[in-house]
Amino acid sequence: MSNNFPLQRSSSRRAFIAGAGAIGATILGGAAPTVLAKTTAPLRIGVLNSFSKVFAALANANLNGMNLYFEQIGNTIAGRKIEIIREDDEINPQVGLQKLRKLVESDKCDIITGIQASNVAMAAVEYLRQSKAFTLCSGAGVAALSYTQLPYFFRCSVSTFTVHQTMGEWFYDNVAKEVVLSASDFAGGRGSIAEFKLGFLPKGGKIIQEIYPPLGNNDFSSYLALMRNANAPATFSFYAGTDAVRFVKQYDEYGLKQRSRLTGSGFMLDSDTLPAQGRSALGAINALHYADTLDNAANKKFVADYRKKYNEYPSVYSEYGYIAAQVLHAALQAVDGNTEDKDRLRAAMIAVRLNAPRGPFRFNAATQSPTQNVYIREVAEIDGRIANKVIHTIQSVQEPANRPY
Amino acid sequence: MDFIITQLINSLVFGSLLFMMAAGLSLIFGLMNVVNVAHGSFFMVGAFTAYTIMQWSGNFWIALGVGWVPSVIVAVLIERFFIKPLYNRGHLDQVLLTFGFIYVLADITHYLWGPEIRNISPPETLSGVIEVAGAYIPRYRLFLVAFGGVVAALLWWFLERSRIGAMVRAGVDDAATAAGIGINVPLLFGCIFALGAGLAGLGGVVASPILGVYLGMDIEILIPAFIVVVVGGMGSLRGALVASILVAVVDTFGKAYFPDYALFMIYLLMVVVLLTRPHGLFGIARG
Amino acid sequence: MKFLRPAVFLALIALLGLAPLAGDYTLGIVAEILIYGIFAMSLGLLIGFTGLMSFGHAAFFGISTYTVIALGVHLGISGWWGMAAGICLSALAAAFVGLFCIRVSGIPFLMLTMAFSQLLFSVALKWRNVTGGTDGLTGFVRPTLFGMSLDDAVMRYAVVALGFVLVLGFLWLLVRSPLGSIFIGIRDNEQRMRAIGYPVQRFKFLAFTIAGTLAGVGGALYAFFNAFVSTDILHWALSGDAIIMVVLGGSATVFGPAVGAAIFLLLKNIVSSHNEYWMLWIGATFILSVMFLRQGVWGFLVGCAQSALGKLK
Repeated sequence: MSNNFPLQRSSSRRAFIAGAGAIGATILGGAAPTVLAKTTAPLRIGVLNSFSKVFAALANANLNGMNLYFEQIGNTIAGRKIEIIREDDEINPQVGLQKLRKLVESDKCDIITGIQASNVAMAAVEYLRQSKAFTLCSGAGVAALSYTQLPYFFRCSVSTFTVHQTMGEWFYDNVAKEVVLSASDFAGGRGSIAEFKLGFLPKGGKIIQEIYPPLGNNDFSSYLALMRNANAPATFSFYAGTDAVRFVKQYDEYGLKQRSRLTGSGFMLDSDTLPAQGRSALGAINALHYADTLDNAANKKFVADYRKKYNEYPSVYSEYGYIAAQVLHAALQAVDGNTEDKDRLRAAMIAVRLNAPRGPFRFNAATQSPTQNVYIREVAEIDGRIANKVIHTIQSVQEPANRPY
Repeated sequence: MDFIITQLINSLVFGSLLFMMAAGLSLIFGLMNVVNVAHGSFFMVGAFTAYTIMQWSGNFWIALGVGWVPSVIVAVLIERFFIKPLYNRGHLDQVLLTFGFIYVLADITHYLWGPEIRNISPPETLSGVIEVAGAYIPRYRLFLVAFGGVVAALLWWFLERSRIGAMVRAGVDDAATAAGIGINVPLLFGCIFALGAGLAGLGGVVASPILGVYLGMDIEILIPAFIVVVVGGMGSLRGALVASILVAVVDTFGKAYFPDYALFMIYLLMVVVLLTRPHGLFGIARG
Repeated sequence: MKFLRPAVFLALIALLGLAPLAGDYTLGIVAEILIYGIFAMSLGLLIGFTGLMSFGHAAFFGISTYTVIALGVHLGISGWWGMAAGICLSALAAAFVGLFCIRVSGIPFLMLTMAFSQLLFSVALKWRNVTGGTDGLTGFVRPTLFGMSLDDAVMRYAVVALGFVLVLGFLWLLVRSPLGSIFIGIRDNEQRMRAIGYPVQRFKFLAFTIAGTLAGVGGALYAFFNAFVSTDILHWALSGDAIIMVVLGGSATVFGPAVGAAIFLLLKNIVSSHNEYWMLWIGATFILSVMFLRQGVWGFLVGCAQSALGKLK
């Protein structure tokens, strides 16, 4: 359990202002601050992510995005200096729990953020339920995280349900009425396909075949042969990391792109895999809640600043970290840096409205996960770079209040 | 029937890939009785080196010609300073030692190249698909089959027909006598270890357009490589060749016809072979 | 010399008893070390005392953890019954696998144990309804002891510490028993044992099964500790970690592997909090240990103590 008593290092002037404010607020009948003296203790943010192993690039991008924003606001929120403590979960839930305990119990972090790996996130849920640590998950996309009923657990990344279900609907109208589905045989893969089906099937779509290669599969040739045989007008797939690179490359290598349109989850075709996939990804249609080519002011600034600082284009994972920082700034500012009163902070989080690089952002009050746009994208060569261009926008997609599957 | 032919050809191709992965491992054990579990690490170093060479020169053939060199250098250093002092300690200690090197080499690679997933494209002359007996096979994979065949032939010639090969076989059979007739056994063993690592590195270069270049590939190829070597028999080149095809067939057809059991099938194969012929299909029992 | 061993033992008990004073978080670290200590010591029985290098020991640890969590999450069965079931299942699995594995030795034995372990890993990956696949199983409710829930860190630690002491005591008695001498004999010279007339295979089988059962004890305690399980617990990387722990601490003593577990976990935790290159440090430490400190840290300390005391006489 966290024993988090703030250090009372406030100056007498602050105490006076805060005290006067309290009296004033009481007179006005408003809610009085529960802590009369405002704390200026450092704001400890624990970043738990997969800094080693396959997700390392994603975790680094996430932290980079977060640091970029915090630097721009002088590394201070409501008078509290930001202190980031990072820990590596090695994509292993057992290790993740160990590090989470360290961040919450030993390092006494005020906020926990990060957590890209969905298995780590699911394992963390029970611990967070007990410890009541305030968490802003800025990575994992697994739909189940929207239905944890944890009051102090927020997610600012995405719920993959919204992305894939929307894609399923759009796919029926714009790509084909029949499809071959494929994904890596693990929870994330199967979940993505289930989500796609929930958008595609109710419209009348027909599934010709479903193929699930094992996770970490090297050679897709036998599966690609199955796909060739099935002769669908298009395929929809989800693979992660190196599987995504190999699948897309081999899909192209085997000449399948000409016969069955390649479509998939945006996670399969984003900046962590596109450089390796190269030209084999061109023309692939996918859906995601972000694209680094988005034409809005916030994104233009974000991309320019990120490139200036890190000498590379931001990825969807960089944007996760950036928006997490933006959300924390907005919410903590609203409660004057008070991380002790978690209910008040929670209310402030729910009230956050942002124009983020990804577009308009707010939390769904029922699930504490984002309500945001979903973009249909196509991989193209833009200014000599293989990137995603947005071909359609679906505004403010809200996820269901109850678990869809 | 078409489908079966396609899958058979796929098996042959995948088998060539496996052979490139496993040849070096089998060689080192067969000739030195050393289990080099860091084999995957040499493979990975070869792949990353090829990536860097491709970044500099854009020429795949240079990468193929030189990409295996860092693996050999690392292997020579490891053998000279760490394995040689332990020659009289027994094989299990050598396993442990090379196991420690997996960790070290993995982090060094991480440090030098960073965590992103990389990629190598095959050269223009080898890209595109060819139709073979109704099956569509990428040109590069056919190249891999040919390349694997050439490597196998060269290895066979080296071991069975060359003088050095004869010295190696003598040194393995009876080190004391071999030394007695003037063969520098420690130097020979050092060369064999380097050769095995070089094969692994070469395998990494030639496999990278298909597998990709990424951290964690050292562990990922270790299991298939060990399965091949165990099934074929440690130290038998013929065994490595046959086992590569066998494992590839089981894996390919397993995925196509028993997708739910695809994962188990190769482990099951390994278990069955180990129980019925503990030294592999073509292996020789060693004391 | 005679008083040395009981003195060390009492010191250990004292340390274990004082640990709760260090706060919940440190207590958690100590508990985790003790659990892995049990795991490593059980492997130590195989490697150090019977000469069998197994690369699939994680299977017996993980099976127990899965049993406890799965029974609790799917059927609501109390953790204590789950623990009993888990240990039994580990024993059965070890017996089954052992039956096959002891037919071979050396490198084939290494490979075969790994193959069986990977087979189990593949089953766990696929059997998502029961195991939760890569995401694992959540929602396990820890059992209570004397009315106090094991959700309380001190209570949980007490159970783990008790388990550790029991396993340590059992192993200590085992290696000093006639059965233990037979194991050691097999390690030293299997052919001679066979020549004398011992049914060597039967004893290897026994050692394998006992080791697997003890790993199951560790696995069940781990289930209480984390209230979570995922397929990572059956991966051969964990078996590899266990081998490192045994060798680091010293395979020639019962307690050595537990020391190795402590070194491994502490080193890993400290380094990984500073940068992500902890593998380099673990690997380098391990390599140096194999080369220069083959008897392990604890083995070295024991050796020093013995020679020092020898000089005193």
